[in-house]
Amino acid sequence: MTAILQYMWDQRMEIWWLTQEHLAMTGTAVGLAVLIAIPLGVLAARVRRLSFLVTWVGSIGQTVPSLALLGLLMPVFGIGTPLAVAALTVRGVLPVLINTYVGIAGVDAAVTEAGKGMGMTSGQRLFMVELPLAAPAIAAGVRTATVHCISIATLAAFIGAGGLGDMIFLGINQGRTEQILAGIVPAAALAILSDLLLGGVERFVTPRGVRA
Amino acid sequence: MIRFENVHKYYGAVHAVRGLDITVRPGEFLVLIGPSGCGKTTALKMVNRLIAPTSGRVLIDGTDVSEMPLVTLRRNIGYVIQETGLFPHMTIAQNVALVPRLKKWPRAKRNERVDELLHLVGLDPAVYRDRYPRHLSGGQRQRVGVARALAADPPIILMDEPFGATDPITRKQLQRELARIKEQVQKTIVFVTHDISEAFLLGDSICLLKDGEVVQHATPEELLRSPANDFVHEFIGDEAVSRQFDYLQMGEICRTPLPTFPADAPDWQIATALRKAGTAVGATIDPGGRLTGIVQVIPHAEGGNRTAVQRRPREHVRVARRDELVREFFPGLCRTNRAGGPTGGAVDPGLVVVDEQSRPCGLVSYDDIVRLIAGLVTGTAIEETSGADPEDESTAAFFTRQRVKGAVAR
Repeated sequence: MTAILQYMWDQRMEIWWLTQEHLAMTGTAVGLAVLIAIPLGVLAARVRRLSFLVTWVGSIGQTVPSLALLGLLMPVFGIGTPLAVAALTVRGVLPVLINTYVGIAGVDAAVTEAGKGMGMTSGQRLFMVELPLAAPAIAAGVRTATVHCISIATLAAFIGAGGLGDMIFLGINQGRTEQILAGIVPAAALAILSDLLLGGVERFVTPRGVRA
Repeated sequence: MIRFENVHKYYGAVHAVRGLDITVRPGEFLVLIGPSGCGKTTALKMVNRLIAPTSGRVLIDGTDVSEMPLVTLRRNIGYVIQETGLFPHMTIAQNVALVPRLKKWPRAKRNERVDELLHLVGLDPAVYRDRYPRHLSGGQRQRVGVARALAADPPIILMDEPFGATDPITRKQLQRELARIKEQVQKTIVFVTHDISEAFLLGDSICLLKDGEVVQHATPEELLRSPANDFVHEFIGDEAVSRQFDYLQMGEICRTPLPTFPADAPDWQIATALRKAGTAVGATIDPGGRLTGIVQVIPHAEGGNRTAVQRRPREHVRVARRDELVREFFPGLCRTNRAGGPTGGAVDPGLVVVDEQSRPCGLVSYDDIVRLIAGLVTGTAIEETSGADPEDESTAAFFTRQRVKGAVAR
């Protein structure tokens, strides 16, 4: 135990550096995912035909293994950080997309009809009614996406994109438990912390009128 | 003014609305009623273009709604739906102020309007302004829904079964409040319901629909008096029994004939004529035939054969015009006294009914009232008693006699 802590203390600069890399990768990917997924989700909720496509692609997409995803995208993005970010983005889009769609489609039909009947434009309904009411669901999607991405990002080391995965794979190669743990512990801590943090965000964006 | 011109709506092969031709006058409260699937909600939603007609036109003040800018059209039409559709993430004040906000009213004016409207619908602004819809009961939410529809002072309000989801007591209360609000705000209102008593309570006119067609469009009174066919009759059902009293006019319950005399006719002449006519009450008239008072024959207290004639000038006679509603007079009618009235002397004969020119047409006697009540209790329509043979002793008269006997025995 002391040996592990000692090792982590000795490697603190390296761990710090890798953590930053890890976070940058996930952060970029989740950011991109949100930018792509929310408009798509809104579109899916508005256009009935697309909604089928979105939920279908969403469910299938979730089943593709992350490692396979890396392989699939390699011909397009080559080896390195861009590939890692692209793969993480694809992974991150799905939960946000589905939650956005479900959140908006789940707005009470009476509320939507009242909005229409009172003369709100489509945009006003979206920004004043639908998005605020779907916000908790969307935030939950972002939370899921972030936690997934943080754990999946450890695989980025495979394709030379760095991150805490470097530590883990080096440790595996060299058979050094403390080195493996020096990668795993910060990665797990990151996932737990971001989950807690985003849980707070989720509560924050839940409109007061619908808080339980 | 709203006009439906030969409006049809098809949903695929289903012909939901078939050639609707209705006009709603400014300030009129029109109730669209009928069984489920009769097209009433479809018709309503054509006004604010939530549904487009397959053919035909809907006009507001002469302009086809399909040619008006959609958003402007809707912001100038209040809309209330059964599920209220309040925005759960907005406070009551924000909900009510929504259309004013869309119309970019200044904040101060919006706040003022919110308070005014919450007062109007019977919610204390200080208590409810900052609450959220989920804190309110169903009835309160529906009040907010009504306030929200009125917020930007639109000339037209559409209400789609607004009280359908509330419990019977709340519903009665909301209906009464809406009847009051309607008097205060003077709007053109189109109201969809399947509750016939609600329709009678609120509607200036009622349009009964069936299978997408108008079966009868009439005032509540016309609907009760002359239902177009068996469907209307059946649909009105029990309501007809409980409402028959509502539009009953004094002329219709006045059954006792009232012989008339010139005001200067001598007592003996009047007494003889009344005895011949078999009645104790007559009316005196001026040369123009207008009522000047009543005359009553009073059998002498000693039981002798001498009779006296008591004259009562018009100002001491209760008079009703024949087209006045019975319900307005009812409390007074019930006070009609068999024993001597406050005027002393003769028995209060009842209420004299006159025509538009103030000419007496008859008397509503105590018997007539008892007969009326008996009819109401047993549920027999008033019309059915009208052809009754005057010689035929009515149940009411029988009861009256029994009671008089009882009094004598005591």
